[in-house]
Order: sequence, then C-alpha cells, then structure tokens
Amino acid sequence: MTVLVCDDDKEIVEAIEIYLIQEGFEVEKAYNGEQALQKLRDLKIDLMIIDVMMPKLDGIRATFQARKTSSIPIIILSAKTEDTDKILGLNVGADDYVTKPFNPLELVARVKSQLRRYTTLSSVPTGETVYEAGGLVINDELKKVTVDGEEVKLTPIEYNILMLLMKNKGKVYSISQIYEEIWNEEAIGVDNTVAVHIRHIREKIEINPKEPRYLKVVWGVGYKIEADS
Amino acid sequence: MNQFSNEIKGAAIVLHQMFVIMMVCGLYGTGYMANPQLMQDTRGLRLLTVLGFVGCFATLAYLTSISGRKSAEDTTIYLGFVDKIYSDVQLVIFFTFVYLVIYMGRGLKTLDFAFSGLLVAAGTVAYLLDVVFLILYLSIVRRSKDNTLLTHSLVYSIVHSFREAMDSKRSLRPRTRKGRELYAIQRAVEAIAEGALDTCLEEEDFHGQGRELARAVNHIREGLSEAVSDRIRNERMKADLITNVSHDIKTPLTSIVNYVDLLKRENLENENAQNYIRILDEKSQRLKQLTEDLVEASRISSGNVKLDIQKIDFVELIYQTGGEFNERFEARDLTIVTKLPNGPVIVEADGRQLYRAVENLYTNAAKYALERTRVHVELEVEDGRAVFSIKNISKTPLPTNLDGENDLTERFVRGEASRTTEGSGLGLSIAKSLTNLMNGSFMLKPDGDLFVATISFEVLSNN
Repeated sequence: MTVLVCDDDKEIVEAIEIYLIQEGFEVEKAYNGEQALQKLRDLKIDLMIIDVMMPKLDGIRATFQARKTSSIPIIILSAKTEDTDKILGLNVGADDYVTKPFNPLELVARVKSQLRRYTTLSSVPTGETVYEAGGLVINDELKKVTVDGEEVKLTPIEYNILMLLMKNKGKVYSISQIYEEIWNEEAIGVDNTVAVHIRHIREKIEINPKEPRYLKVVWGVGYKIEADS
Repeated sequence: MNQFSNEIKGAAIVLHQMFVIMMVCGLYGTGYMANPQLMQDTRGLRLLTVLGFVGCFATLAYLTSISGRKSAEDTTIYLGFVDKIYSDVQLVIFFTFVYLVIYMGRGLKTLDFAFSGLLVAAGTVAYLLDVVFLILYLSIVRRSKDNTLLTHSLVYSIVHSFREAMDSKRSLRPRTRKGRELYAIQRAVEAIAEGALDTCLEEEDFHGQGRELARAVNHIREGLSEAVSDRIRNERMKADLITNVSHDIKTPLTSIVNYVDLLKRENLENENAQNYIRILDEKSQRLKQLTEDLVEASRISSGNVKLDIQKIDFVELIYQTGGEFNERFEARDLTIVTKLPNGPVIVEADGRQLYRAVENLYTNAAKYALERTRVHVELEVEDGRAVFSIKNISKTPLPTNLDGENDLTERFVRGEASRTTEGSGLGLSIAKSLTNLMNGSFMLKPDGDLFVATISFEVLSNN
C-alpha cells in the first residue's frame, strides 16, 4: 500500500512518513499540489494525505483536480478548524478531514480505516439481517459489528441500542425513548445510564469519539445514526 | 362590475324620502280620521301607511348596504365630508335639530288648517327630519364599516391626546419657533443616545443659537459614529489577527507534537531525558489546547458564529452531557448529584452551542473541584425561565477583585493564580459569550469556596 503525503512543511511530511512506515505502508512525498498531482499520475498511489495551504496549487484545488481522474481515498490536513472549511474540503471530494495539530495515531487510524473501506467495502455480504451505514456494518444473525471491516466488541445493551438506531437510520431517539425500547420499562427518573452507554459505543466504533461519523449526538434532542454516512 | 353610482344612491335617497312622507302622512291621516265626528273610510290611508312603512325600510336597508362603497366588488370604504365631523358632535347636532323642529312644530295642533294643509305640514316635518336622520345614519353606517365609529369622536380624541400627553413627558407642544427647534434638537439627541447614529439635523432649518446647537449635535454624532465603526473594525481585525496567527502557530506546533511523540517511542534510557520529554509532551498539548481555545474565544466574542436555533429539551441535553463526563468525574472521585424535572423543559437555542457552554462548566468542575466532593447539577423552572446551575467546592480559593465582583469570565482568568495545570482560562469566557449570543443569561455566583455557575433560558413550554 502506498500513501502519498503532501505538505509544504517538510518536517510534517517526514513525521507522517515515519508513522506510516512503522505501520508497514510505503510513502511517497510531495511538497505542493502540482507535485502531488504529478505523482498521482505517474505512480500507483492508494491513498493521499494533502495539506490545504500550500504554494503553487493548494490542497482544495489539488483534491478537486485529482477527483477528475482518481477515486482513491483523500484525507485533507488543515490548520483551519471552522465548519465551513471542513464542508468545503468534503464537498470537493475529500473522504476525511483532519485538523492540525493532529494526533499522529489518529491520523494513522484514519488512513487504515479509509483503506479498509476502499478495498473491502465491495465485499460486504448483504442480506436481511445485515445493516450498514458507511463503514459500519451489523450482522444481526451473527451479532457481529464491524467498522471498516474490523470487528468491534459491544456489550449486549450497547449492541441493542446500536441495533435500534441502525434499524431506524436518520431517526432521532431521545434518552427516554431508548430507555423504553431497550429496558422495556417506563422511563421515570432516567439518569445518565443511556448517555453513558452511548458514549461507550462511540468510543468503540468511532476513531474520534468527539467527532463521531456514525453515532451522532443531536444535543437537546437525542441520538441517531446518520442516514447516509 | 356592479357600480353604485351617485345617481343610484340619489334615487334611493329620494325613494326613501317619498316612502317616509307616505308613511307619516298615512299615519297622520289615519289618526286624524279616527276622530269619531268624522267617521270616514280610512282603508286607503292605512294602505298608504303600510306601503310607506315597507318601502322606507326596504330603501333604508339598500342604502345601508351600498353606503360608502363604489361598487359591489370594492371593499374600500369611502368617507365623505360629513364623516369628518366627530361622531359625538354629529349626534349632538342631530338631536338639537330634532328638538328645534319639534319645538317649532309644537303649535301645529292649534293651527286652523284644512286637512290637506295639515298633511302638507306633517309631510314637510317628516321630510326635514328624515334628511337629517339619513345624513347622520348613513354617516354612522360608513364609519362602522370603516371601524372608526368610536375612535373618530371628540371624547375619544381628547382622552387619547390626554393619555399621550401623560405617556410622553412632553405634555406641551412648543408654540414658538425657538421652542420647536429646541424640541427637534432634543429629539435628535435622544435618538442618538439610543444608538440611532444615522440621525442628522438639517442645519438650514435652524436659526441663531439653534443652528449652533444643531451643528454641534451633528459633530458629536459624526464623531460617535466613526468611533463605533472603528471599534467594530478593530474587533474584526483583532479576531482575524488571532485566527491567522493561530493558523501560523499550528503548523510548527504540529511538528513539535509529532516529534515529541516520536521521541517518546525512542526508548531512551536516560531518566532525565524521559522526564524532559514528559514535560515537553504536556506543554505542547497545553499549547495546542490554548491555540484552539483562543481561536474559539475570539470568534465567539466577535459574534462570528453561525447559530442554528431550534426548540430543544434542556433536560435531555443535561443527561447527554452527564453521560459524556461521568468517567472524568469518577477519575477525580467526584460524585454528580443531579436534580432535574421529570418532563422535558423546552427552550430555544442552538443545541450544539448550548452543549459547548454546558460542557465548559462541567469541564471547569472536573478540573477545579476539590477531590472526593459532590458536584450538584440542577435544572429548575422559575418564573418562566429554565435555570441550569452547577455547584462545586473549589480546591483553591476563588479570586475576587477589589469590588468583590468576580471576574472569572474575563478571558485568561482562572481559579488558580499559578498556571501550571491544564486549561487555558478561556472556558468560562467562551461559555458566557455563547450563552449570551443565544439570548440566554450566564452568571457566576462564587460564595467562599463554593463555585456556582448558572445558565438560564426562557422556557417555551413545560409539560
């Protein structure tokens, strides 16, 4: 697997290279958008990590150009944290958006997740008892939950909560609704129990539980699985 | 178009009057003939009375429906000259007239007229009264249709203007030119004081001292307006500067964080080196948190946040927040004691931003509360407001400034003077700015070592 890392800061590129090599990846380096596009054309690249603010051709434009010919996963790296910047990055065709300064282990986890999704997603078995949302797949018959092809161990209650939300993708469930569905008891004087279980599920299925991709928190309303994540 | 031309209206009025005369004459005649000495056949007169009665009410009904309108499709009510007179004045004029007619006609009985002559007199009186009655009646009809019957009256106007005079302290309108000019200047100054900085006085409209005053007021306004726009621009520039500098800091910081992490993995034998790396790691993480908070705080305080205001359940949000934090509290041996209403408490806010405000308060408690104490979280509905409060015992004395007023929401002020632990000192400032942005109120009430923070919002419904 070859990962193309593109940033105008050489030290950042080299640090990422060290982490990726430790995880058994091969790394190609580029220091501006034009070089990145050149390498993308000339070499066999499986995934690209690209910075936004770069000389010559910035990461947003480069991503937009790359998307015309390639469908490999692209992770954008940026110092900008505003929502509008993230939305712009994802809209031009990036698959993920990581803000600087990033946790190197999280970046590696995201690289692996994107690659697994890209290479194994087509082979996900479908059936009546299989539910999926993006890279999150639940096989209800085997009671097995996988994220980007990797199995996740959930407790029975966590599994039931996740299953409830999965079966009703896009629907927001409040804490008392979840309580009534899972415990089959009227929710009088509920406490943090449900919220704690939800956080545990997020910690198991999300790379960054604070910015969940699958199990979203609708603050003041409830929880849901995004309909098309 | 079904037009109601003046000719039609005129014809209806003439018809009405004819019928009234017919009715009155018929009645008068019947009464006259009822005299037992005369014993005449009154059937013709009675028929005339009934015809006149029916006719006058039919035409009156028609007039009532078309009065004030120009066509059947037109719903506008057109008011005439008579309608400009106050309705109570109209009434007084009408009754005066009726009284006069009756007063003058009181001798009619004694007049030695022939029957025909008496009929003419009765018809004339009826005609005169009907003309005046029609004028008054149709005016009332038009005014009722226009919904101004009661408001367009002398009594109402007097009461209204009196009340207005009571409301505004300016009970007297200035009569002199100087008075008027001074009044105009006063109003302009009041408008400027209230923030209407586009208020401008035309200097040519003023004379003598008034012109000097107007010019000075205009100068003050210009100066103030410039100062305000300067301040807005400066705030923006400051926010932009902070954002840009933070972006520039983040790039080298990324390398620092990454290489410190790589150093950690190098299996250094030297104990000192390991210690130094641990310090570098902590400080670089702290620097990272600080830059992120700094960008956040400057963006929020410059109002540069997009809000998505929805109806949300405050109780749900507190349970959700509690779920996020329980392990962080447990790690420091803190117990959360929650006291929340059983049903939902609906408020209008941006759920994500409200969570960030509440999250900052929880984080604050998790960081600064004394170990092995309880943290009290409550939501109460008081006077239509949902009041969320979080109380904890601070592990260090809380700072107060000279006035005794606490300044913890000022940026960079933390409960501890020494800045050795985590936290940027921006958390409470961010929470306050966010709450205020969403029209909620944020308060800190430190009492000795007891730290109390409240966030309150207006409740939409509580069921």
